Amino acid sequence: MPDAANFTYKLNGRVVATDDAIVSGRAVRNSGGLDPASDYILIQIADRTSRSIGLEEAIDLRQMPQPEFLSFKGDSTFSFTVNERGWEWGAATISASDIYRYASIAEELELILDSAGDTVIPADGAVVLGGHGVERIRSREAKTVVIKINGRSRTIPRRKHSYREIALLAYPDADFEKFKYTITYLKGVHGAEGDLVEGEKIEVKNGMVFNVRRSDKS
Amino acid sequence: MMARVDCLATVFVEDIPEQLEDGVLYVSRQCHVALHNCACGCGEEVSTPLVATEYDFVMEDEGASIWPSIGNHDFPCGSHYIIKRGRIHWAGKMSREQIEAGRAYDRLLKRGAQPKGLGAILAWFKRLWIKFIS
Ligand SMILES: [Zn+2]
Repeated sequence: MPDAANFTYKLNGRVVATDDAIVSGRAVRNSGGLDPASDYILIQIADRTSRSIGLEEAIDLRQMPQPEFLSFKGDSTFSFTVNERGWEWGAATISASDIYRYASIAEELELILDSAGDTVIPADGAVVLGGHGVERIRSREAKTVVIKINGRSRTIPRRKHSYREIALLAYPDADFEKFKYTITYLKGVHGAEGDLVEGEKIEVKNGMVFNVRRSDKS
Repeated sequence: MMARVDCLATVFVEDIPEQLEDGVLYVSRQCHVALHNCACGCGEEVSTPLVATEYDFVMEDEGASIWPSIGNHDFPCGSHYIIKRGRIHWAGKMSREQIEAGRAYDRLLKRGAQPKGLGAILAWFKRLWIKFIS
């Protein structure tokens, strides 16, 4: 048995080691070179929730498996909820990618802003927290997916799509009597890739890549 | 104004623009595709998927090369050309069947293991293919 127990936590993605089982909010700030410590908000990410840690607050590292902290320069904290769990944040905006990451939300789900009449938050978007009231964010099964077709983004319903439907997305004036469309796909469900031919249908997912080449039938 | 171009400038992008400029070959590595407006100036958009069974793309200092050839019967204008090191090499008539035979040969090679009789099929495609490119 070693003499001193060794504890680690993450601050802004960096691993910090300490011999102390109990650290103060000030000590965590100091370990990241945040000086003066009082100029920074410290946020602790927990199990699908987050909270602000005061300067003199004691944190027991034995009580959590992988403690993770984020720091923000400033003196305001912003409250919101993700799937009915309370969150605190040190900036007036939070990116959707941070919500997915810190709230452990699967990438195939979409984020919804309750307070704005169920608006979908784009995966590369952000939520402004500084407004009136507490923003309520939820995740749900997405009704649409964004695919790439001949290098362009298209939002389409989340369901099976036929050979003709995909060809029409690339060539809205597609003529199936006159032309043949060669459709290849990549990055499908479970990494599916191959050709889509007349009479076939395929399940689509976010980020799936379709390419359509037109050739004459004559 | 329709104007024929004899070379293509290659531009690497993540998303291909909705409207293409003549004389530019747009390449999206992320989307495995290249697009350009037909070099004859007819305005037809040409999609060349960069996957094993469709087109090969090579970028060199002098410019981009795409194989196999572009067009012919595929477009109303009847253009047929090869893009090599950024230049358009206008080619003679080659029927779509010949081009597709070449692609089918490629498909067989790149898709890997096939049932018996593959050797004979491959040899047939290869004969056909070599006949047209030589
Ligand atoms: Zn043309």
